[in-house]
Amino acid sequence: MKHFFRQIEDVPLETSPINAEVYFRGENATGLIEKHEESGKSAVLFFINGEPGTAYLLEDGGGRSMSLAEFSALGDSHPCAINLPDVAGRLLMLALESQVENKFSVANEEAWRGCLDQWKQSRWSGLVEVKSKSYHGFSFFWQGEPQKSDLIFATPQGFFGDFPRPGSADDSAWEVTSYSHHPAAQMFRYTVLRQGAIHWSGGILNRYQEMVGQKLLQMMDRELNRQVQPWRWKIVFDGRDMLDLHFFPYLMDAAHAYRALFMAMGAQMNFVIGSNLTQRLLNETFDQIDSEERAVLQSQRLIPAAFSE
Amino acid sequence: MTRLNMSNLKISPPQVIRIGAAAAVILLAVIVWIYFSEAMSEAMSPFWKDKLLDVLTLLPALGSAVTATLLMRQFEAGETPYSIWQAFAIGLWCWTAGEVAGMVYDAIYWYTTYPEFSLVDLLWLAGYFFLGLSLYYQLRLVYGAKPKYRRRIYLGLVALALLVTAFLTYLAEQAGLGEGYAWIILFITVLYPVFDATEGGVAIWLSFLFGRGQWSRPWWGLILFALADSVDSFYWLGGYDFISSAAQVVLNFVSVAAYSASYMVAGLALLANYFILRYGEDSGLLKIAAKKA
Repeated sequence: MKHFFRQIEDVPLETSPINAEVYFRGENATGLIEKHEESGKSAVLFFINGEPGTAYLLEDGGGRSMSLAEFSALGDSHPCAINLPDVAGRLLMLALESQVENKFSVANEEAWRGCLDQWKQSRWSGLVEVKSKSYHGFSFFWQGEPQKSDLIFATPQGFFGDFPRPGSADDSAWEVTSYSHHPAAQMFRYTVLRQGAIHWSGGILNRYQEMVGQKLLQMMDRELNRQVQPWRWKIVFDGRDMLDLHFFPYLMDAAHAYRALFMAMGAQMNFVIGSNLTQRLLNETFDQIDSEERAVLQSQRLIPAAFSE
Repeated sequence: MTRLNMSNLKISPPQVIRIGAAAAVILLAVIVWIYFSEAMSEAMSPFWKDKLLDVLTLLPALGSAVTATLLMRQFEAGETPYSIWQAFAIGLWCWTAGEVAGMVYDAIYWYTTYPEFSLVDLLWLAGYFFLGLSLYYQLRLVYGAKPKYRRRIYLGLVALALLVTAFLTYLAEQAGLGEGYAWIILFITVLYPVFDATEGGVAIWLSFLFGRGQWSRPWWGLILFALADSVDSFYWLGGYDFISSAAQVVLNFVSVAAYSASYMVAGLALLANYFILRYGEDSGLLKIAAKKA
């Protein structure tokens, strides 16, 4: 029986891990292969945009990373494979690298609203997993707010980037799991880096629009979206918002992408408002983001001085 | 946003800017030549020479006011840059109207005494007020004043400039300058260099702040205005007595050239910004930025 995203149909392949691997590689797709041994052992292997990523042995509601050789050695004559949107893949991997903090049931919308209010008030940050008969999804909360780029639900109709309504007649109660994260864990650092890049770029674009108006902001968006295209990053700039739906397998890859985008922003701003003001704008907006985000950005040398002349 | 098709244009914006710059250089050379040429002085009466120079100066003034208006109209009324360029455009229109009024007053009062205070002064002062407001809006946007204090800060700065002017007027009176003029006339005469120094100073500050950014270039026009007017102020303060006739020629040249060039620089910079906003990347002016980057 599948552990993850039961609502989503399997990739229609001959049930062989080799076939699934060929499929993911050929399609440059993100997804996972699940294996279940008769002994009760279960494991998953992630494919990230066509490349094999980390494999995890499932235990105690979490995951322990294992080598690809160990994964291959696991015996399952009927492994299953599913396609995943990048967001689902990276949030599931974050869940597997985290520890369960709390588990509870939510029966109706009122109770769910209560949870959201509580997380908002306490400015809680962490991953939430929701499982029910009809849905399986993840949402990453940062400073009490669910993040638009890190919210995904599997439904029988497919994946959606928004919260469904709890307590519908044909659904069961929601089983909610909140996770805590080790600050040094690779996936958590990647998540915080992504939040940092999203929030910093949001601040930059907001301030830039104040200074030069909507039209130049739209030109900036077009330029940034053009930068993204050749790399096939699933990152979209719309107005002042950056929507990052890409799954970078390594922190360095994500840092490389964000560096290219901040450099493009800096170059455009240098031309329009000049280097001094660009530097000032970058510094001001960098200081406004969360200290944890700032620290991860700094660790990847994503700092204001790197993006203005 | 609706993007405009550049293929409808027969010449590209960079070509328009280059042609505009070339025309500005030629016009500037003609103005300087007419001003200094003895042949022109012999061929034309001083009255008609003055009128010809007025018309030639009016052309870039009108051009800069039109391009400032075009630029302003590229923003939505609620956007912050709209108020900056609206004030800038109004200021330039006031000065353009001042140029026209100056021509008319010159024609009427060529052989009689010029009134001590005229519509020309009023238009010049209004121009200073609006250009100053534009500078203030730009600085406020960069440094971010709290909304409730914004207007008070600007009015406070204007009041400070008036107080400084009043003090300088007192000093000028003590020094025997402007003998025979009413105090208010002397005050307004002093007000010009005070405004010039203030707005020129702020424009230089903004230029440093913006570096070589495209958006700072219209302010370069104000720096040239301040330079041109500073020569007049120097003469008014009795500077003629302290310098040789050769130095006077140099200063006259600076004043004449900088005055006309100020409108031209502002106009061309505003035109480039207008093209960027109207045609975006297709203007060919942002692509230059991409190549540089």
